[in-house]
Amino acid sequence: MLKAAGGNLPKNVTMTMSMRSLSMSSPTLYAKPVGTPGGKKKMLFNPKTMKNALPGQSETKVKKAGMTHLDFDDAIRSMKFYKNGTDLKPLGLSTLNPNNLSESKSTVVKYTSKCQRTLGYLGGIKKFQNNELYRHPVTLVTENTTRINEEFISKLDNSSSKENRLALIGSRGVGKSTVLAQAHALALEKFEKDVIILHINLGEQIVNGTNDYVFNPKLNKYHQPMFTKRLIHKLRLSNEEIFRKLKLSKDYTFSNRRQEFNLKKGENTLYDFLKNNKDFGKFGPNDAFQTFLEELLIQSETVPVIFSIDNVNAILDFPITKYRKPDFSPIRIEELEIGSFILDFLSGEKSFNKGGILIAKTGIIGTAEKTLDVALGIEENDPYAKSEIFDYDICVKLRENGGIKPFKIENFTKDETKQLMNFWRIIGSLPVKQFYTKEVDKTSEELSAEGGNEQFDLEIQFERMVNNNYTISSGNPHYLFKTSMLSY
Amino acid sequence: MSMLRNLSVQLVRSAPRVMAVRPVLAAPSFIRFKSDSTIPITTEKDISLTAQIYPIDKETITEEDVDEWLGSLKTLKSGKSVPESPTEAYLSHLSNPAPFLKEKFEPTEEQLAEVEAYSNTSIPILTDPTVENLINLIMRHGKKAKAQKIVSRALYIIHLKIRKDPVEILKETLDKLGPLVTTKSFKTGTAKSRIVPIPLNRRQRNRLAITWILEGSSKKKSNDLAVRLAEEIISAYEGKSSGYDKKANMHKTAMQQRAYIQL
Repeated sequence: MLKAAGGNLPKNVTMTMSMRSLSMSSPTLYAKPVGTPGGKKKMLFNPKTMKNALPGQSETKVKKAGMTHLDFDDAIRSMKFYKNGTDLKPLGLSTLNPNNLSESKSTVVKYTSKCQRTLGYLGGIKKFQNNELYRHPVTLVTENTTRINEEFISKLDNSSSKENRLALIGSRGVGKSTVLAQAHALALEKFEKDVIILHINLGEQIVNGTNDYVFNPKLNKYHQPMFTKRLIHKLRLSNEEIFRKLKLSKDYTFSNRRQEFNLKKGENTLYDFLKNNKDFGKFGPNDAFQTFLEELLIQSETVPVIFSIDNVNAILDFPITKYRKPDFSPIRIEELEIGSFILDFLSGEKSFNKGGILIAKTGIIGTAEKTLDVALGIEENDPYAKSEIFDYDICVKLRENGGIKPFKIENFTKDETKQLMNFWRIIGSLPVKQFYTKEVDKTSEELSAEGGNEQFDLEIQFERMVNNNYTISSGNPHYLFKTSMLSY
Repeated sequence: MSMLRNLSVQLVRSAPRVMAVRPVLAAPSFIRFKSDSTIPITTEKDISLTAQIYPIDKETITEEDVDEWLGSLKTLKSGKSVPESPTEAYLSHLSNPAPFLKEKFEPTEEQLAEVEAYSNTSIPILTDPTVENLINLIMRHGKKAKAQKIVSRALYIIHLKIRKDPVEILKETLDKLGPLVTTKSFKTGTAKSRIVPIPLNRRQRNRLAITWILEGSSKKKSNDLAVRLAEEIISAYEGKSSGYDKKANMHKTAMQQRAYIQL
């Protein structure tokens, strides 16, 4: 607001900035106001410049080049580097099969294409296993593979899941998830796909509060509709062949998109039920998952069922979930529908007539928590342990019916290390070359070309590398990879 | 506080002085034996305690031995420098045991053969000097492990993309990108300074190439230096880096000033 400088206006009248532009009477007022150097600029609408024209920002955005915006871990997984991998066909790798395990011991093998697809659906081939090195996922048959075949796979068709419960334990990066995937593959090969695999590949997804949840007063449990829907979708795809063979044991009626479905006993299959029933993802009380479990319990008399969970300590060591009740008290794992299903089968309270339970820990989550370790008998019970570290109820539940047997995954032996490193050498990922010498910027090869008297033997050098890397990693696959591939 | 300090000083002063207990260094020499008893030797292999302490062909100690021992001790104490009897010689050794405790290493034939096998071999160094140079140029605030991690990850991505030995790719790229010659200005003392082309050695060429690669990598998208570096090295390997313009400019300037080349 400015006071009128001229004498045209009365004393009590003030002039605004907008009025100034209209005033032609006074040359003082007609002049540009102080502090506006360029005067007024005409604003034109330009969508390109307007988009980024935030205060304090330059109007044009600098475009940055490059293959990806991701960081290292995500980049190597998402950029499909496996396509550049060496063709493995000429190597003539044998497939992972329970019948030829003794012949293929300490060798690198591949999964059959069907098996690989199933494992892909189940999430058995995990992200951090560095499969980007190879065109197809490969695996090393170790002593652990032979043991899991003898102790778990061979019992699948002659014992109930209550009597066949194993927990894979071991240090970080030792290959627990790999052995789990191998167990799946061995079972699929042994029963020629006539085996049902229920697999939860990331246990933390159940408890970390990332899903929607709804209370079912009839069950007195909380559903997780989206999680259940995705789990069922995954299981349907991976077990399609066997589900198509299994005829329903009861009549089922449900509606889907205003269409009534009447599935007949002995006529329709379990696949039809899973395909057409959309109640798994319904946000409201329903009994679809319970029906599926009941049907599985009946079907397990003829077909073995493997129930497996990876990263299981994310569930069992953290029984207080991130979900809350309406009064804001936390929901425990037993109060979730999926959680109670897991605990029932792990404790042996419910059991498949044929089959087994296989759980695997993760070395990344919950190193301080002790519930699972005490339940497996690896650690002694500390009566003064805090409730955050040790949950008594879960521990007691897991110890029911004889408890779960721990299965320790061992590191690679030296022979296995050598075989794997040799495979890396063959596919061109592990360059075997002479060491560098003190002569600056000259390898010993160059020195010898100049007339040095050294003689190189690449085999001796490779042996030296094997010894070195085996000593550094002590046969742990994760550290073996790091020291061989990620240290130049 | 000062009062407390005074009190503590007084307490310390008032406490009786206790002799510090010295550790027993040569325990066996202080052991006394019953002179009339003999120590049974269980096996031939076991050396008796007597022989360990008094190893002059004797299994037992008699009173005469003790007398002889004490006598020679007295003579040595009195200042005798050259020992005469075996007991004196033994006691003089005890006072200066160092030359007799030295272990002499004698290599086996196998060990000698191993030494022979390595006789022509040059001493290996841990890492490639070129990679080391890159690591050192990336390193900030002395955090070498961090720089090593970045370079290792970048080389791994290069391997995944091109499927060759990434160290060789890096070397080839640096060879391609590094300029051969630079220019320096010398003052002539008159108005005009002289710009002289100077040839670069391998390390200097590498340094410039690496600097340009790092400049180029800062223009890439990713937040991870390892990924940006890998992308830039790959594009430089394929001949697309902005460093090539800089190299061409340097060569052009040097060509223009070729009259001043000092031979």
